[in-house]
Amino acid sequence: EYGVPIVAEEEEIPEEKKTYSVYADFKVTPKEGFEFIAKSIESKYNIKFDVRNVKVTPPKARSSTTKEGEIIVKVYENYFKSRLKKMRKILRENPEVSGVIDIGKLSYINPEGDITIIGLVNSKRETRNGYMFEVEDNSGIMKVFIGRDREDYKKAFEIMPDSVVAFRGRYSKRGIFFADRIYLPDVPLYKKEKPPLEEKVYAALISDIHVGSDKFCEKAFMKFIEWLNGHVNSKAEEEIVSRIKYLIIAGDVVDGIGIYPGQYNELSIPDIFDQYEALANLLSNVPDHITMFIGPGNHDAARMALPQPEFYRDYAKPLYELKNAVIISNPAVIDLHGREFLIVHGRGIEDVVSYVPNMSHHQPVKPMVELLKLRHVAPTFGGKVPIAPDSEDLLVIESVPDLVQMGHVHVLDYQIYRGVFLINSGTWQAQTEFQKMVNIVPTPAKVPIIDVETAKLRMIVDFTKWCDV
Amino acid sequence: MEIYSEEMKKYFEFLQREIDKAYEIAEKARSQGKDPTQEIEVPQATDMAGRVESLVGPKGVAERIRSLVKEYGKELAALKVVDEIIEGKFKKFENKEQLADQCVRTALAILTEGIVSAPLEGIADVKIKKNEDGTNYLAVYYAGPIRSSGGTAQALSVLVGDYVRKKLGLDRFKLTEEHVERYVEEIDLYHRAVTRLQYYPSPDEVRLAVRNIPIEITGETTDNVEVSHRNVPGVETNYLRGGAILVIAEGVLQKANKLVKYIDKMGIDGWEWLKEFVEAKEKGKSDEKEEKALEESKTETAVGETTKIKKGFYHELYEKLKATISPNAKYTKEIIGGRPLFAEPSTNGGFRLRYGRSRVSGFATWSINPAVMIMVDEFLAVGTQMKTERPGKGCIVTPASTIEGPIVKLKDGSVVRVDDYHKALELKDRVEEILYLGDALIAFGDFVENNQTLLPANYVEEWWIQELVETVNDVYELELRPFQENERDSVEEAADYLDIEPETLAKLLYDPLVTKPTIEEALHLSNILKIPLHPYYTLYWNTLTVEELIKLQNALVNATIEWGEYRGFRYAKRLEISLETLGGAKRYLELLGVEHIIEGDTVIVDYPWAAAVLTPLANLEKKIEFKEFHTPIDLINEISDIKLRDRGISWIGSRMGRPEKAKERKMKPPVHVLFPIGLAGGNSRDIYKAAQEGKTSDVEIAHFKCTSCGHVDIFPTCPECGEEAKLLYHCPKCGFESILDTRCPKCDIEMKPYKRRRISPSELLNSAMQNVGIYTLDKLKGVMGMSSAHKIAEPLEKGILRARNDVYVFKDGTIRFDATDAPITHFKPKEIGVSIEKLKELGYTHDFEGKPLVSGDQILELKVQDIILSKEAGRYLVKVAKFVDDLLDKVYGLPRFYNVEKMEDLIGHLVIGLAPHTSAGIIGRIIGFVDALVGYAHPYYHAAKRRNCFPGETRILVQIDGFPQRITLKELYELFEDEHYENMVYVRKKPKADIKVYSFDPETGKVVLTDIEDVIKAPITDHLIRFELELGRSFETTIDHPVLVYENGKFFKKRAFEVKESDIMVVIDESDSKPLKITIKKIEFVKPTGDFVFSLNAKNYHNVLINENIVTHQCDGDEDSVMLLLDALLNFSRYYLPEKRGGKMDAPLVVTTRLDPREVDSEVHNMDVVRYYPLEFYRATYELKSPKEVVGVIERVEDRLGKPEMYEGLKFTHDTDDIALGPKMSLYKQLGDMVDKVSHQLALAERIRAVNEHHVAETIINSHIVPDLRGNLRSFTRQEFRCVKCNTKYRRPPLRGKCTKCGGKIVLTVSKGAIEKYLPTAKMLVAKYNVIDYTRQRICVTEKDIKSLFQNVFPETQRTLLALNHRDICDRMIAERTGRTVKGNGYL
Amino acid sequence: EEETKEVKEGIEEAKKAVLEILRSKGTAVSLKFIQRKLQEKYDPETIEEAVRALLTEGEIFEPEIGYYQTLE
Ligand SMILES: [Fe+3]
Ligand SMILES: [Zn+2]
Ligand SMILES: [Zn+2]
Ligand SMILES: [Zn+2]
Repeated sequence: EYGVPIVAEEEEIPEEKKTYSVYADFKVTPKEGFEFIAKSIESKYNIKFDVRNVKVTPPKARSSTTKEGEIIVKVYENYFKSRLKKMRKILRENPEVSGVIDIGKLSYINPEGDITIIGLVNSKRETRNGYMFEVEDNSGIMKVFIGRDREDYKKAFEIMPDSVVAFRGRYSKRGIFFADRIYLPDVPLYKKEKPPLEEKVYAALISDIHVGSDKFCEKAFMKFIEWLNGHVNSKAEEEIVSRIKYLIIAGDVVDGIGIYPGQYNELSIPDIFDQYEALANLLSNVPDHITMFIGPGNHDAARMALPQPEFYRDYAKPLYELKNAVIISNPAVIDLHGREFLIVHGRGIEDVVSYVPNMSHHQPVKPMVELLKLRHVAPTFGGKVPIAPDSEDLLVIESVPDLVQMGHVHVLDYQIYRGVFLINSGTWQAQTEFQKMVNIVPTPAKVPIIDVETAKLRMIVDFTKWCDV
Repeated sequence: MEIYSEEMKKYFEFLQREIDKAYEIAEKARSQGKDPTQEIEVPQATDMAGRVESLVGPKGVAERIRSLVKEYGKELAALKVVDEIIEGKFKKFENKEQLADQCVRTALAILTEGIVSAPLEGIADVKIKKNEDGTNYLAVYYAGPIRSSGGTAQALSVLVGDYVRKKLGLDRFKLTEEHVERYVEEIDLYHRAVTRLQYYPSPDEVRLAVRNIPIEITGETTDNVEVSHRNVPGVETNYLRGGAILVIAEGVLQKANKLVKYIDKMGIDGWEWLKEFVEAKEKGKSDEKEEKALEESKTETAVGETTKIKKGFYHELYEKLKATISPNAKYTKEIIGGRPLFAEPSTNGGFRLRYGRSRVSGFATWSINPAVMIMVDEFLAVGTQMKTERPGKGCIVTPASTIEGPIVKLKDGSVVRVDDYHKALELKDRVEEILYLGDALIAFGDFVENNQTLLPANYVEEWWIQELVETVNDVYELELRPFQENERDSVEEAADYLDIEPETLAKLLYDPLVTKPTIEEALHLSNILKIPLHPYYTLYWNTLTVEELIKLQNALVNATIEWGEYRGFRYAKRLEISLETLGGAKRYLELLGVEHIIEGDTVIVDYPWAAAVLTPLANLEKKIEFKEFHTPIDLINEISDIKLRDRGISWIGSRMGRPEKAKERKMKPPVHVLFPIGLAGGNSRDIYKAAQEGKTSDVEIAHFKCTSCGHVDIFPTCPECGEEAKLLYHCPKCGFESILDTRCPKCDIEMKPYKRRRISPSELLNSAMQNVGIYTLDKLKGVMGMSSAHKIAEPLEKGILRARNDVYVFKDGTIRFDATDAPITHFKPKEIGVSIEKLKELGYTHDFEGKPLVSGDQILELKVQDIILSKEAGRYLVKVAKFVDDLLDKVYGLPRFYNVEKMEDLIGHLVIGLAPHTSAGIIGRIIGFVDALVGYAHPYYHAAKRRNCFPGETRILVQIDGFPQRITLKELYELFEDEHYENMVYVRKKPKADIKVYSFDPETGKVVLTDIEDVIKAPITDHLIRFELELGRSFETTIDHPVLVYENGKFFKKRAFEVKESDIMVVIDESDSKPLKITIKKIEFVKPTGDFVFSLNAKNYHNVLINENIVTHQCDGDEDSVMLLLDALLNFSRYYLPEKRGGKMDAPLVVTTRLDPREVDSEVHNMDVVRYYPLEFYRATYELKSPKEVVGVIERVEDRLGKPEMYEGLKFTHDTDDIALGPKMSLYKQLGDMVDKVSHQLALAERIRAVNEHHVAETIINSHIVPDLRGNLRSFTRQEFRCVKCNTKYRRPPLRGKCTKCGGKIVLTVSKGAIEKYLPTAKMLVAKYNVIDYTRQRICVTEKDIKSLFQNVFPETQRTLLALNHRDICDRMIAERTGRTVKGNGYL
Repeated sequence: EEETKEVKEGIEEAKKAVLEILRSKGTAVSLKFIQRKLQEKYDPETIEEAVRALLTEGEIFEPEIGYYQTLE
C-alpha cells in the first residue's frame, strides 16, 4: 500500500466570470386559444396578517445609561409575556378551561378541589411515575406533575418547551400541582361552514425553490411555468390550470449565499443578486391573472431570525418589481375569498422533530399538526429556530386558519386536522449530497393544487420526471 | 538476548534507585494517614505479568506468567498458570472455592492483559454449588463491569471456568428446563428493557448455549427489572443478571467463532456443540478481493506513455513530478486570524524541502533555520506548530542552523541570503520581500510514516559531498568517507590529486554542511571531477522561465565585469550594471536568489556571486538559445562546462498552527487546595478571606469516624486521639450512619460518604496554619464544592504550603506543568545549562562520536528518559520542589528531599511525564533547561503515551458496504480485525467490510466520507466527561480527549476538561446537511460504565460524527505535562477525582518506569537514525519512488527494535548551533484583537513571495470571520440567559425579569457586541483585497442580518441606513448592482 | 641514439599506459595520480612527456591545468 501517488482532488478555483444563466432568455407565452377561466374571476384576496403591519415598539430605556443588553433582555421578556397573554386568550375560548388561578396565588389561597393554571412550560422531565413540568406565569413558578395513570398523560409528550398549556388538577401543600387534565391551546373540534363560492378557483402552493443551487430542478420548474401557461397534458389538467388564480410560495425561493459553510461549491449561481434576478426571470412568465404571494425562508436574503418581515429589498429587488407578485412576511395570513391561509416557511418543524417523540422529517405534516395544537409557529426558544428580539410574539397562530402551508423540509405531505388542511409543499431542489448520505429523500417538483372554496387538496401535479439534476 | 548495554542497564538501575527512594519517602508520609488512603496511589507499571500480579495476584505469579507466555503464548499460559495455582505453587487456599476464584480471576486477567479491572469487578464471585443429584459444580457470578472486558474475554472466562471445573474434578452444571427458560426470558427482557444487545440471540440459540455450557453463568442483580420466571432454585435473584446475560449473549454466542479457535488452541474438550453452532452460522460470504485486484491493474495500464521529442532532463523530471504529485491545498482551506499562511501549496519560494533529521527532530517535526523565524515576523518560534502540505498534516518547528535560511530583498533593492540568526535580527526591519523562505528539514521517516511519495531532492551540500567522495574514490582509488574524520594519509593523497589544501578537504569531508569551498575551489572541483557545481553557488535557475533566462543573458552583455583567473579558467569576480540597462532583468537576479547590492543606480553582484551568475551563463561567451521542452538548467547544462543540479524543485507549503506552550496548569479559577469553601469564599473562592471575615459556610464534605474514640470529623486521622478514622457513610433518608455498610440497612438505598456540614474557615485555617507554622497568607484559594464521589477534602495544610510557594493544584492533587512536546536526540551541555561534572554523574561520559566528554560544545546522545525542560518549567518546579520539601518537613515530619534553590539543583531529579488524555505516565529525569517554550525529550519518550477516547456505547455514523448506519464504537471496533497491542492500547487496522466514516470538513463545511486508518481500544481513565448540548444531544468522552469547539469564528480542538459550558460545538443537521453550532448546556463528570474506551483515526480530517451527529475531534496528543515524582506520589489521589461507585482498584494513574521502544507509539519506529542519507536515496527521489522502496537504504528505529542499538548510537543528519535558537514566543501570542492579528498576518502575506495575500484575505474571511459572525448571530437568537448573581442559567428570561432563585439581574450570555465584533475587520478585508463577489456579498448580507435583527429593538439604527454611502463597500456594491444612486457622504 | 630510441619506445609505452588509465576512468584525472599509478614503471618526467605527446596528438585534452581526459 505504500507509494500511492499523492494526487489531490481537483481544485475549485473560483472564477469571476459569469458562467451561469439567469434565465433571461426563458420566455413562455400563454398557450394560444387556451381559455383561462381565472382571468374572468375577480381576485379576492386580503393580507390578513403580515408582520410588517404590526407596530412593535421597543421598551423605553429607563435612562440614557441603560445598556443595550438590558433592553434586549427586557424585549425577550416582553416577547414571552405577550405570548402568554395571547395564549391565555386562546385557551379561555375552550369551555373546559375554567377556574383559572394565578400560580402566585396558589400558596396563599390554598384552594380546595380542582383548579386550572395556565403557563409557559419551562421544562419537562420524565420520571418513573409520570411527567414533571415546571410552569411559569406572570405571578410565579410551579412544579406540575401528571401521573402515568392519568388519561391526559399522553398529551404530555406533545408539550414543547415554552409552549403555553393549561393544567387542571389539585394543588398540594408540598408545592406541587397534581394535574389530571392537560389542555393544549389547539383548535376547535369543528369548523364553521363558510359560504360556498360562485366559481371554482384554485391556488397552487409551492416553496423551497432554491434557485441558484446546483440541485435546483430548473427544467421541472420551467415545465411548471409552462403548465401554468396552459401547456398541459390532459383535459383534467386543463380544467385545473384554467382556474388557477393564485400561486403561493412559502420561502427558500433562492438557495442564498453563505447559508452554510462550503455552500459556494454547491451553487450554480453564486451571486445573491443574480439568484433573485434568475427567479424573477422565471416568475415573470407566470400569467398575469395569477397573483403570486412570495414569502421568505431561511435561505433567503432576509432577516435570519423569526419572524421574517420580508426580503432585503436591495438584494431581492427583481421580486418586488414583478407586477403580479405580493411579497408577504413569514409567517403571514392571506384571506382568499374568505378562507384563511396561514403561510409559514416552517423551521418550527425541526424543533418538533427533536422534542416530540415519534416525529420525523419524512412526514412533516405530523409536526405541523403539533404546532397547530400548540398554536405557535416555533414555540421553543433556544432550539433550532432563531427568534428575534421583538417585544411582541408575532408567531402565535391567533386565529384558526382554514389551511396551513409550510415548506422547509422538502417533503410533500398533507393531512386534515379538525377541519384544518395542513400541507407541506415539498421543494424544487433535488436530493443533496448530504441528504443522500443520511438517506433523506425529498419530494421535488410536485405541485399541490388547492380548491380555495374547501381549502383542501384538489390534485397534485407531478413534474418530477423533469427533475434530473 | 539482552536488550540493554551495560551502560543502559546502569542508567535504568539509576532511575529505579531514584524511583525507589521517592516511593520509600512517600510510603512513610502516606502511612501517617493524612491523605485519603494510606497507600501510594501511583502504582509502577511494569509489564503485563506485573500488572496481573498487582491486579489479582497471587503473589509471585508475575515471574511465572512471563516465562509461560514466552513459551506458550498468552492463551495457553493462562491455563498453565491455572494448573500451577491448583498445584499450590504460589500459596495454599483455605478451600476449593477460593482456589477456583483465584484461578478464574488470574486467568481472565492474563487474557485481558491485566489492564482492565474486569477480573476484579466483573466477576463478583466464584462458588461451588450442588446439583440436584448431589454432585458439585462451578458457578461464576458475573457483575455489570464484565461488559468492559469485551466479548472475547467474557467468552474466554467461561472457557477458563470450565477448565478450572475439570481440574478441580467438579461435575457439570445440570440445569432444569425452568433454568433454561429463565435465561431465555432474561436475555430477551434485557434487550428490550435495558440496553440493546450487540448480539441478540434467538431463544433457541440461548437454549443451546445454556444447556451445553458446563458451568453456571449467573450473577448479581444489575437492573431493577423483574423476571416472570421467579424463584428458580439456585438463582438468588428475581431481577435481571446483566453480567451473566452479557457473557452468554455478547460473549459465548457472539464470539462463538473466536471461542472455537481458542478451544482448539487450548485443547479444551466438551465444546463440540459450539463448533457445530459456528459452522451452521457461517454461510454465504462473498469475496471482494478480486474486484479490488481488477481495479488496480486498470490503473497501471494507464501509466507509461511514450514521447519521441527530445526533452531536457529537468523538463522531464518536472513533467513527471506534476503528473505524480499534485499540490495539496488542504491546509490552506482554513486560515485563522493571526496565524499566517507561510507558503501556498508546492509554490516556488515557499519552504524548500531538505531531507534529513536534525538532532531536535523525531517525527512530525520540521527543523528550519532560525533566521526564518525572525523573517516571518516571529510568528514562528521554537515549538510553534504548523499545518503542512506534506508529508504529514502538521509539525512543530525546531531550529537547525546548518540548513539554509531565507533569501530576502531589502527595501533598497538589494538581495541578501540570511542564513544566520543574528544577521536576520539586524536586517529584519529592512526587508521588503521574502523571496525564498529557506529550508525545511524533514525526516525520511516522516515520508515513510505518512506513506508519501518521495519528492525529488533539491540539491544540497550533503548530496554534493557524496558525489564528490564517490567520484574521488572511483577515479583515485581511495576510500574516503563523508561526515567523519578520515585517515590523514588518504586525505593528503586526495588533496594532492585534487590540488586543494588537505585541511580544506578534511573539513569539507567532516562537516560539509558548514564548510563551504571558495568559488574558485568549487569551480575547480566541478571542472576536474565533472560533478555538479557546489549547491551553495548554485542559483535558483529554474525559478526563471527560459525566456527570462535569455533576457537575463542579453541584459548582462552590457554589464561591466571584472574577470579573474584560477588554474587557467576564467571566472567573474564582480559585475556592475546600471539599473536602467538591466531593466526588467533586475527581477531575474532577485528570483535567482543571488546576493547583490544597489549603489546609487548601479546593481553590483560581487565576489563570489558574480561567478555564480556568469559561469552558468558560459561567461557570456555562448548564447543561450530557446529550445522547447527544456528548462533553464537543461539549457545551461548544454552550453556550460560546469553542470548544474536543480536546487529548487520541491517546495512545501505550510501555515501556522497552534503556538508553542509552556505554562503551569491552573484550574479556572486557580486553586491552591482541593477544599470546599462554598459561597463564603466569594468569586475567588478565597478561604483565607472567608476566615478573616469570620464567615461560615455550608459545604458537602466527607466525614470520618475514629476507630478508637468514635470522634467524627473531616480528617482521615482522628484529631482527638490520633488513631485511624474511617469514612463514615450516611443515609440521606433516615440519617443512619456506618463505617462498614455503604447501603442503608433500613432504607435499602445507597448511603453517601459525605454530608452537609457548616464549617468555620477561620477555625480550620487557624489550626492548619498553626500546624505548619505559617501565620500569614495572602490568599488561599479553595473550590466551591468538591466534585469527587466521596468529597474527601485535601488537608488545608497542603494548600497553605502551596499558596506560600505560589503553586497551584490540579484536580487530582498534583501540580502540573504543560509544554509542547519537542523531540531531541542529541544535545550539547552548554545549551542546557548543565556542567560537565554533573553530566558525568548522570552517566554522560562520552560524546556521540565516542570521544570522552570534556567540553560544553560536544554533542551527546540523549538517554531515552532524560528530559530538558523549559526554563519556565524550571522556575515553577523549583517552587514545587520547595512546596514538597515544606510538605515533608511541616506536615509529615520527614526530612526535606529536594533542597533546591535554583533550577540547576533540579537536575537529576525525576518527574512523571503525562501525555494528554492518558492516565499512564512515564518516569523522566531532568537534565537541563532551555530558554524556549517547549518540553524537549527523546522522541521515544513523547511516543510513550496512550490514546483514549469515547465510551464503547458512543454511536458513530458510518457507511458499511455503501449503506449509512449508526453503530457503537464498540461495534465498529469489532468490525476490524488483526488486533495488536502497542503502547498500552489495542489497535486494529484491518476492516472486515468496506467501512467508511463520516467526517466534517471544517473548511468546506461539508460532511465527507473518509477511510478509517485504525480503531483503538484502550483501558478507560477513571472518569469521563459528559457533554449535554442543546436539543438534547449529548456524548461522553475521556477528560483529556480533544473535542472540536467553535470559537471566535473557527473550529479548534480543546481538551474536554477545558471546555466550558456555553462553548459551542458543531452538530450536523440531518434535515438539511448543514453544520449547526450548538451550545453546550451542561458538563458533568460521570462514572464510566465500561472499562474500555474506543477511538478511531479518520484519514485526513481527524474528526468524526458521533451520537446525534455531533462533530468531535478524535484523539491525538501534543502537549505533555510533567509533575515532580514525589509530588505525585504524596498528593495524587483518585479520591479527588469524580469516580466510580465502590471505588475498587479501577485504573489509577500508573507510571511506566522503564521505557521500552517496542511498547511506544509505533509512529516513532519510522524515525531514521543515520548520520546522512546515501546517494542511493537521493537518486531514488529523482525517480519519485515510494518510501517503502527505500526503507532498507536508510536505517530506522524499526530496524533496531529488540537490540541494544534501539537505545543507543542513534544518529542525526543536521546539527544546530543551539536548540533554543529563535524567538522565544510566537508573535501570535502577543497580538491583540482581530484587527491587529489580521493586519499583521496580511502584512506578512504581502511580503512573502510564495503567498498570495488576496487568497489569504479570502480564506480568513471564509474560514474564520464569516463562521464566527454567523455563528454568533445564530447563537444570539437562541441564547441562554444568566443570573449575574447566582449564575443560574435560563433557556429564556423568566417572566418576572429577575432570577427566580435569588432575584438577581438577568443578563445575556451572547451580547450584541459579540456579533458585531468582527464586522469592521471583515468589511476592511473585502474592501481592500481582491476577494470574489460571493465572499463580499456574504459579508454584506451578514451585516444586513445583524442590523435587521435589531430593527424592532433599536429602530434608530435603521434610519441611518436609508441612504447609500459611497465609502461603504456594501453600499457601493448595492449601488452598482441595483442602479441605486449613492450619496457623496453618509449623511442625509 | 639507442638511448633516444629506447626513450622513445618508453614514451610510446607510457602513452599507452596513460591512455589506458584515462580511458578506464573516463573522466579528468590528475597528472599526479597518473604519475603515482605508473611510478613503478616510469619516472614522472616520462609521464609528463607522454601526456604532452598525447595532447599534441589530440588524443587527450586538458580540462584544467594538470588534469587530463581522453577526447572521445
Ligand atoms: Fe429549503
Ligand atoms: Zn428552509
Ligand atoms: Zn479518636
Ligand atoms: Zn440568581
